[in-house]
Amino acid sequence: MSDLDFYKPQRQSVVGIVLIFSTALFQLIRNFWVVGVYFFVREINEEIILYSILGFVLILLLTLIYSVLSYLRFRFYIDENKEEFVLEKGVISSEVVSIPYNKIQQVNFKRNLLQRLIGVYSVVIDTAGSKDKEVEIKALSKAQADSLGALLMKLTLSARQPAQELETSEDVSGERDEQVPAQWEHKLGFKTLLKLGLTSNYFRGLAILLAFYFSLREQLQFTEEVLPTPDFYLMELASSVIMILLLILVGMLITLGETFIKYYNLELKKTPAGLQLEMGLRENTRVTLRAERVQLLQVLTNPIQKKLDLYKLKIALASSGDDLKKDKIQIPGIPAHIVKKVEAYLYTSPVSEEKFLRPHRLVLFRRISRGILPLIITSLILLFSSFSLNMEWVVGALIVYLLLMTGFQVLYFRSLELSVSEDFLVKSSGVWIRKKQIIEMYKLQSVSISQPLWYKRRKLVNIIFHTAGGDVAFLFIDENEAKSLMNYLLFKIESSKKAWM
Amino acid sequence: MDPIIPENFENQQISVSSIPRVEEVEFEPLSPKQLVKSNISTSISLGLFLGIAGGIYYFFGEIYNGYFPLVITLLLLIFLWSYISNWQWLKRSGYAVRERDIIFKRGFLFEKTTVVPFNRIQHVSTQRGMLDKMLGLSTLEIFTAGGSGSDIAIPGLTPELAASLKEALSARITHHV
Repeated sequence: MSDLDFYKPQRQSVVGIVLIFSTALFQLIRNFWVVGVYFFVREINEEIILYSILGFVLILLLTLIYSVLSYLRFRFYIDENKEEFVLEKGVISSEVVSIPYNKIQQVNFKRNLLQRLIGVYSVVIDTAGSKDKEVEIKALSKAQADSLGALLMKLTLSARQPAQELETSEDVSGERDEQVPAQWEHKLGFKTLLKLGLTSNYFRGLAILLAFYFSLREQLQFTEEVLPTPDFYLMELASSVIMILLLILVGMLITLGETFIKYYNLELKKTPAGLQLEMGLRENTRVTLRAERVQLLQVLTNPIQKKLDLYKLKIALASSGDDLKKDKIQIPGIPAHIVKKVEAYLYTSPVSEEKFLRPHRLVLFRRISRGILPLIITSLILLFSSFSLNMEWVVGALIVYLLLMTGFQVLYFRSLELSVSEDFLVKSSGVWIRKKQIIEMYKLQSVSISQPLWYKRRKLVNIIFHTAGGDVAFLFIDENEAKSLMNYLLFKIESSKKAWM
Repeated sequence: MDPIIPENFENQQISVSSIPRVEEVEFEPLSPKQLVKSNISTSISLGLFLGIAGGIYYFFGEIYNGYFPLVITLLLLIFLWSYISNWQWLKRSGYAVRERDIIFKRGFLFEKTTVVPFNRIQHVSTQRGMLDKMLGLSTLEIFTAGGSGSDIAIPGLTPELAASLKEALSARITHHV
């Protein structure tokens, strides 16, 4: 290791001043640009220009002083006696944040474009359950970041060792030697990224383009006085088809670009400290995942990607507060055997799917009636507006919508399934994108059963599984089955001695 | 933190029928004073709405003359429904404490039962608003790491009961982290 001594107060990398300065300046500009516009709109005379330049220089100077001060006041160190990580900051008021080792959940590295330019890393320390949920040190050199991260992880692991139990016992033993090679790793190559981009859902990119296309077409439209000939219809059709194909192509390209930017150089590694994930072109993220922290695992795929052996993992971690989205980690383009390996790391017993519960038919009825709702609203709007519409077209569109929607809902209904095995709950759903949500039972926080008054006659209930990484609900199941499932889950939670986090 | 005691480790097969059942517990009712509290809140908002309607009638009477009885009837109907649902809510809500978890059932149109195991409780607190203090009531709040969906707040307890429940639960929380 390097000779960096984190037991004494340390400052960030000196170039950090640049980062603080530009961030502060950016915020100032964002808040006060309106004032600038005001000066532009007013008639300009020399006096005003002089004063604005002076004012601007003054602001720059003040910001610089602020940045330097904030750099000087920002110090962090490890307090060995109290077993905590301490951070001091604040220019005008000072703030001291201390995090006991055992509250540290994980240590991540992040870089945005600017940090990449000046060659520094952000170190983010995630804490458990507390109000100020994370601490970020924004400008550390690579050496600093690496050794601080490693040191904190080591201290955290040793502080938590007694609670680690079975699942990480082997990791703890291997943890003494820091140069232990990865047990396995998976890299996303160029070809996989390409496949991933081409088979991802590019409706989003397409939708933007579609709006653009329609406004464009309106501009280029032929005048209606020209009498339509069969030839004209044919041409219209052909041009539409070509346009649509072109659009799909562009949508594809946009999605492809997005995929490359987000997941460039994705690397998933199993190391003694946990699963290590690194990816991204614009914002490079590096995350170390420990099994205890994972609360909910989702495995997603669509039929084409399944053929290509590409699965996406979404991992929900224990988070404080309700911002569950933010703490979800996405790993796309993973082949089935790696998914199995990830599962093997996360769970002590293999994920199995056994006894299946299915929802009552009413769920289908409800979904279809909800699908009809927008139809009723649009037809009401059309009815009361003065649009003169071709009735045949309207009825045609109506029938097509109804057929597609009903078909979709039937397929969705068929895909819904809840598997209850000895240790796992697995909910499957989805028509095109197949989603599997996997919960290890002992990690549940609580269980709810809800029953609207009108379910009572049919003896149906909804069951909701609350995890620290979000809720999973399964609707319209038989009351007795739900209750016995609830009893079993409570038994599993209450008899478990394992730490859920 | 849990000490690992391998020699005490048991793993006998459990027959599913022997697992304790939530549906067999007897729920403790909430204090009837809770109904008074919710009816007071409902009455306050009823008064507010009636005041607004009356004010509009007074100032813009000529224009809205015809609608006034209709508006008042509708308001009264809505609030009549609120009183009924307050009453039903209280009647159907209750809690039960078992050896290893706490169960809270609430709701009239939407009945919901949540069970929180003691070994998943993060912390417990009691909370009292102005009306609570006037009526001698208290709310027991139980927080888990599962977010708002899995936290429960049991209203309509006497302050002494809430405090002793809080003590009892706090003593049983087993922390892993």
